[in-house]
Amino acid sequence: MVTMRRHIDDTHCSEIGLLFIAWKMLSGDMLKYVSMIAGVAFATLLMSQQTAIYLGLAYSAGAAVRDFSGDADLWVMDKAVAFPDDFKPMRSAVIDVVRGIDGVQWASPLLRSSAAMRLPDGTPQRPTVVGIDDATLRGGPSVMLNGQLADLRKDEGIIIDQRQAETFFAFVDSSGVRRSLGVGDRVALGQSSALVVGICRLSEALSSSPVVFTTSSRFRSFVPVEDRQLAFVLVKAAPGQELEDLGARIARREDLLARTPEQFITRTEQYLNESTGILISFSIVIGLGLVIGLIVSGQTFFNFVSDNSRYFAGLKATGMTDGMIVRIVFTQIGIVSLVGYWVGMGLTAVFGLAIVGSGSGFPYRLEAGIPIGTALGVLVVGLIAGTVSLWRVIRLEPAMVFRA
Amino acid sequence: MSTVAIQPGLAVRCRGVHKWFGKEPNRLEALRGVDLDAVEGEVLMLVGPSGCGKTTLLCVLAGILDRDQGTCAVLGQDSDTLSKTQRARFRASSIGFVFQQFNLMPSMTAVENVATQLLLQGVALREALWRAREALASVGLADRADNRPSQLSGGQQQRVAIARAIVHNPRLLVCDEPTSALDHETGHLVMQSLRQAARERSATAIIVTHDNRIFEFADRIAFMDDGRIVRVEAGTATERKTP
Repeated sequence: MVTMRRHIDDTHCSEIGLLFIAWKMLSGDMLKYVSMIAGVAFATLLMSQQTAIYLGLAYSAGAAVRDFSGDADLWVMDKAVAFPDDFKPMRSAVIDVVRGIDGVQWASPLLRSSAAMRLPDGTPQRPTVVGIDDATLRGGPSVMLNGQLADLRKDEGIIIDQRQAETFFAFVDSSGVRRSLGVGDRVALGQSSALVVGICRLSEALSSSPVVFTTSSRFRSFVPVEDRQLAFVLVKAAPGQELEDLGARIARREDLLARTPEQFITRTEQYLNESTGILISFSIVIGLGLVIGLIVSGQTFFNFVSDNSRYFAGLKATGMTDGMIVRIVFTQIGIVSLVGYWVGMGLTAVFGLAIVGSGSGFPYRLEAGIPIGTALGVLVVGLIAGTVSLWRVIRLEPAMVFRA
Repeated sequence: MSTVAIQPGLAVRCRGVHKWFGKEPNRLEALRGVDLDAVEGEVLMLVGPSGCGKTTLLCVLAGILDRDQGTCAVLGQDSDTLSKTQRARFRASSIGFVFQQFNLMPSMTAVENVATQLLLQGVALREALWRAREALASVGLADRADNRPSQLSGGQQQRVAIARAIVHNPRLLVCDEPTSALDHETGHLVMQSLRQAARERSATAIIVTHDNRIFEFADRIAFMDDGRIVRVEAGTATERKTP
């Protein structure tokens, strides 16, 4: 009797054994198994892909700041400016005032306005014209693909972005072929003629408006008098100068706003989140992904467990403990969640690769935190689905297996 | 875990067992004071009309249902003194089950279905599958070990269920209508397998049935009616055990 008692107390199902039983039950109904995986994969795809698009949009909102900052430490702007495309005119004298502030090593104007453009085939466009400092060319694009930034000093010179050259500025040339605007092509800009002297690469921006770079002096010939506005001043702090202090001094002096590039990007993202409703929209879609995943995979898993209740009851009758049942059910939902998660993340990656490969400039940032956050979401789905189904199995009366 | 003094040679000893379902005033009394002994190694059949309490008594004996009154010792254990987990482990190690509808998992092969019973006891997968093949061979199904239930006849499925019930060498087999889903000839083959398996292991088999065509395999037959055992008769099995 002592021997038997020890045998009773010591018996337990090994993890391999449980995994075997769990997998055999799960794979027995391939339709439900695939449905559950599809539910989790869909939820994973929706959560991760939408988050990646949102992060891409948020990142691209600050693209102009990253592209134009160069080695500037501060952006000076009107207090009401919320993001780079939200230029509000400052007095043109501001540039001289800022240059005179103690602690400023240099200050360069950044003029921005829109102007009418006609492509060589007469197609109209209305790009944003950015005028940078003639002498230093600060605030210009940092990556040149064709030509040099200094070419801007050539007569009527402008520089355009490669992607925009292929899209916004594509035209039908004299031989009837549609092609991108390139170096050497002439366009009408404002009341003047402009010559493309360089092709640059800009970051993917949230704004859909194309950009044309030129010098501050030529800016005045392209843009109507009433629109010749100083949008920003880029400032380099003197060595050893505290940026916070310098920014505060500039702001006090002219009742302006001075922000580091990082602060300006954060301000832009805050505007995007708080004023556009974009964060709420994406949060709803991501939440829906979670709920749909929960409903589809949870309901299917619950049905799977219900359909197998006779076998679970049989296992309980023949000696399966509640502890083993907990491990089997969570092994099953774990398998479904894991496979579904990797399928979903794989689809998210494929989607991202397709976007990048298309060269469309669609903002998409699959950052390291996304797989982790999505995994937590899937974990929640799995825990809820597993717990609800488990509750049903635990309550199963093993005697039901004796009913015909 | 407490044990109960039981007369040597007895696998089961129940006295005054009552079982009720539901609450007053709609309470149904399924067992009304059952007294039953089962000798080690015997084939005991519980017979009687539908609803007389045969399956309820089987569930009480196996520790699946709690009794409401009376005493019952099975293989020296009073299941009422065991926790739910201990009871499950006791069933896993000491009792084999054969169900009316076989209850084989359709997604598993015959050998996998049989091995499951060993996996519940922590036997390693490889060993469990090896022992399951031996058990299948002992019921004449060595060549069908890798077939799924859907590829087997009803009689073969029930023999797989018998292999599952005996693979862990239990001391008690409880069988619920093992031949009711089978034709006469197949039922005979199944009962031969079942009796042989019990004999080889000196296991006690308690079989609920109302198939009088298989009475010939019983050492004793307990007749039930209205929740009581009304009489016990000697069966006609050739190798009879006596209490």
